[in-house]
Amino acid sequence: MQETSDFVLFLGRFHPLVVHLPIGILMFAFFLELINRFQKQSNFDAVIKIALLLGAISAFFASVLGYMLSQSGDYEEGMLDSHFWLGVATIVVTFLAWILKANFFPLPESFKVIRSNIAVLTLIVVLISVTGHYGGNLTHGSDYLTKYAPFNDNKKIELPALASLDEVVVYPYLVEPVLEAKCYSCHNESKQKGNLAMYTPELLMEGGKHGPILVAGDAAESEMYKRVTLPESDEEFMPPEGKTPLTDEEISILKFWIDSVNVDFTKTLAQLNVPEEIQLIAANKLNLTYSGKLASDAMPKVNVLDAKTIDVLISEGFQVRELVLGSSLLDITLPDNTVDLKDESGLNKKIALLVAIKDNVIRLDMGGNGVTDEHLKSITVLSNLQQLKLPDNPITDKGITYLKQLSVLNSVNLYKTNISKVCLSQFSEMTNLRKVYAWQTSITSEDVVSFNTNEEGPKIILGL
Amino acid sequence: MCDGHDTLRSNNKDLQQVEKQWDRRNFLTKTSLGLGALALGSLMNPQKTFASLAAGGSDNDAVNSILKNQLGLPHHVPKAKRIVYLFQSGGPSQLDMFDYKPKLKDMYGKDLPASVRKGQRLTGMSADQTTFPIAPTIMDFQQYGESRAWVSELMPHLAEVVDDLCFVKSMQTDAINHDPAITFMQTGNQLPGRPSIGSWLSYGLGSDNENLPTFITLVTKNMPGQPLYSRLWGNGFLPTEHQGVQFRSGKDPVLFLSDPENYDGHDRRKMLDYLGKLNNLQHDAYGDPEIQARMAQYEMAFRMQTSVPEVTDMSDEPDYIFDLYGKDSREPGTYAANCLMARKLLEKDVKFVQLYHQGWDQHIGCPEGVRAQCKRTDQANAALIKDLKQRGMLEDTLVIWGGEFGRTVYSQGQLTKTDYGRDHHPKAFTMWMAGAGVKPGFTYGKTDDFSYNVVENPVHIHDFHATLMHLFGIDHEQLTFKHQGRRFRLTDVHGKVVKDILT
Repeated sequence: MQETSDFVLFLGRFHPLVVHLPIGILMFAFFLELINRFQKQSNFDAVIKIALLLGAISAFFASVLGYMLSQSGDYEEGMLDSHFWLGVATIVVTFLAWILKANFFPLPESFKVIRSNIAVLTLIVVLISVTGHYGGNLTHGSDYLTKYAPFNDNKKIELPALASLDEVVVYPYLVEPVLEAKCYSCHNESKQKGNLAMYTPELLMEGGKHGPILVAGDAAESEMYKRVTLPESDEEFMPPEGKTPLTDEEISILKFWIDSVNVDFTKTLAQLNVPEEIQLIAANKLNLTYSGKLASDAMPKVNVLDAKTIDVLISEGFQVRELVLGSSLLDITLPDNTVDLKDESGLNKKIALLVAIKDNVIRLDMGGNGVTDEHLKSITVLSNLQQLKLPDNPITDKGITYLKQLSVLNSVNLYKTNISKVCLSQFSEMTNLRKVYAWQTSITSEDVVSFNTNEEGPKIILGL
Repeated sequence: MCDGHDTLRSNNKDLQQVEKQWDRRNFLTKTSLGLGALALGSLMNPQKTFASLAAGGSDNDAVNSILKNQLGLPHHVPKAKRIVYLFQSGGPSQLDMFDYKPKLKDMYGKDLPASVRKGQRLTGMSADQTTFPIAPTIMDFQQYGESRAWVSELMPHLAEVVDDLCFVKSMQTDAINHDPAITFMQTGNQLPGRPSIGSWLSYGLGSDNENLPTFITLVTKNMPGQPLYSRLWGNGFLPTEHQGVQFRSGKDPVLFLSDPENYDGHDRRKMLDYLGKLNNLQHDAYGDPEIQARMAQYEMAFRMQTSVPEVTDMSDEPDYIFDLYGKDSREPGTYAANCLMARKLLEKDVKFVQLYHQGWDQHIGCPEGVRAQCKRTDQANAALIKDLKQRGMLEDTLVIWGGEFGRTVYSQGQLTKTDYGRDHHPKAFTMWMAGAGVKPGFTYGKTDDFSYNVVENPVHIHDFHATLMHLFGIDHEQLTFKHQGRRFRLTDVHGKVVKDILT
């Protein structure tokens, strides 16, 4: 199929705007006709005639734009068809009504019953309403109108918020949201592709036209898992072409649920032996705290900063990068020799700026800027700091004791500082710390060998 | 619209008169079409039209991005902040360096089985040979480190750091000749004209040190071999400021950067300011982005007048660092000196440092040729890894070593007990990476017993590019540039991130 040009889609997007013109004009005609009917002395026929013509013309243009919009292929075919043909019908009827109203072809007396009167206008209004309803459904989804209606008891039941990972019930909190996001649109009450419905546990277990899709304890044999992990180009791949495939995290959740939870619908994480990776995914999805081994890889959720704060940082000589755009998670560098060492308050002022955004600093580099133990003390409030680079600074063992408060720190660079082997034991107390760079300090390779007896501790990296 | 018109334009009445003489065509274009174009322009590109508004406007608007990267980058948390790409031009022989194939010893001189070659297209240099005699390497191989990686006797220094390296032994390319192959490796396409990897990164992520170019190229001096063209570090259709800047060896690393004789440069700032005003005028009138690129380059050159002499000054490097990189490193322009320079540039947060080392094209005299090349590069390669590691920079610096293709298992020309030649081979070759986000002490992919076909986990150049972008927080499918009606990416319509080599 030939790709629709951007310009056609650009115009198409004006359809929802333009389409309100004929709606308004024709409603106006309808009301005038009503007045005509009940107030015998008024005669608005001339106005109605113009309104019908304008309505028909604007409806025609709106439908052309609508057709352009439909070329994007973003819309569900069946409903699109109904919307299209009803739209065409509206235009045709309106034109006919105008022709009758204008009396271009005087009809013989016996046909006088067919004339543009309140009945025809009512028909137009009905057509507009139904067409508009389909259009609305296309744009907003078919449950948009009734979702919050008082008579609708299919409202989504909000899961209660949880306090800790232990309370998480695997199916409703982790698995169902995946199915809801990626599968329900084709396997629901009203639509069951491949005879498969997934919206209740019973139906999910029942499977589709090829039988059950889940084998408890064996993801590799489960049709559902197989289908979502095929190469994307495969005919059988789910979700089908054009829809968003499952993310790696979502696939991990399904695998965990089938393999380790044995397709159980009620178990909580507390009852299971949960891999760190799943704990981390769950904590991220449900906004819970996770403090396991992978904690230092996880990215915290932090307040969004405003541009002014960043501008101030930059004007103070910091280089600021956002780790992921829009996340406000920052990688901050103070290039070496930015701080004038003679100016005592210079660095304090800069550090105060960092303290003000303490949750947002994930990586920090302040090499070669006269950072002392006292400065380290003040940056211990940067509780989300994962990577800290402080080479070429007058830091001593005393400063290292402060670092212990940085609970997710996984790498610290202290090369060319005044630390000694005394602080090695401090490092081993820091649970998440994995790498310490200590070249050009008084720490020797013998010190490291005698210290690195257990595998779990951080790796001390020296140099020549 | 045009600030500064009055101050910059001449006061000459006649000239002003001429400027006001619009003919009918000009008048109609400017008034009718011009107005329409303005309206359309604002629809298409609201940022530009309302840029001045936004700049002076309130900061309270919840801006999605505080740093305003208009490309929406990075897409995910990056592992790598900088990269040094040690490009080995000519096609290093994987058979004599990394890809150990002991079974070949017994097949010395036998014809390469057709079942292995599978009708593979050969170059004109060996296609006419009546036989394709198998040439097992004469190099000794040993396993090193905890990762037990195989390395030949030619690289005693690299053998010391194998536990920091990630070998990919299943690289594949589509091109069989140097220029298309190098162009493919550096730009993702065999034909010239696309932006190089460094330009894409510069365009996508911007600079971390505004005093130095984001993308710097160093070429080993006086090396024979296939020519290198500056388009290999060119910006293609991306804005010009993203092209690589070559630092040369010798007195002037960047040409024409120093002040000419008898000029002390005291009023250069004033000159540039005035030039900037003129260029702004021109930009307002024509909107050509190349005008902005030129202004950016003038400003960069101005800052480089101080930053380049500073960063290229080797005098503050202690002797043990020169010893680490080898005695060549004291001579500017050698591979070793360039490796050391690369470290200094990376230390200054230059994002992409690209080295080129020619001379890996051993059609004849392969053993001696490769031996000489390893002698020139081995110590410096290992030194760079060690040096970055001890400074803690290997954590967020990606190091890449590799050429444009591999070499054949059969001998091109005469095969003797001590000598053989090897032709180009695109279907399997070895590269290594180290540092930011790639698994250390790891080997990925496998070739058959002839190092001819990949039998496990092939990594195509597009996949390599996708993985590289991934390490920088970029989804390679999302970073595009529209040019001549089409959106281009580094990976074109291919590429899969090789997740298995990522930490």
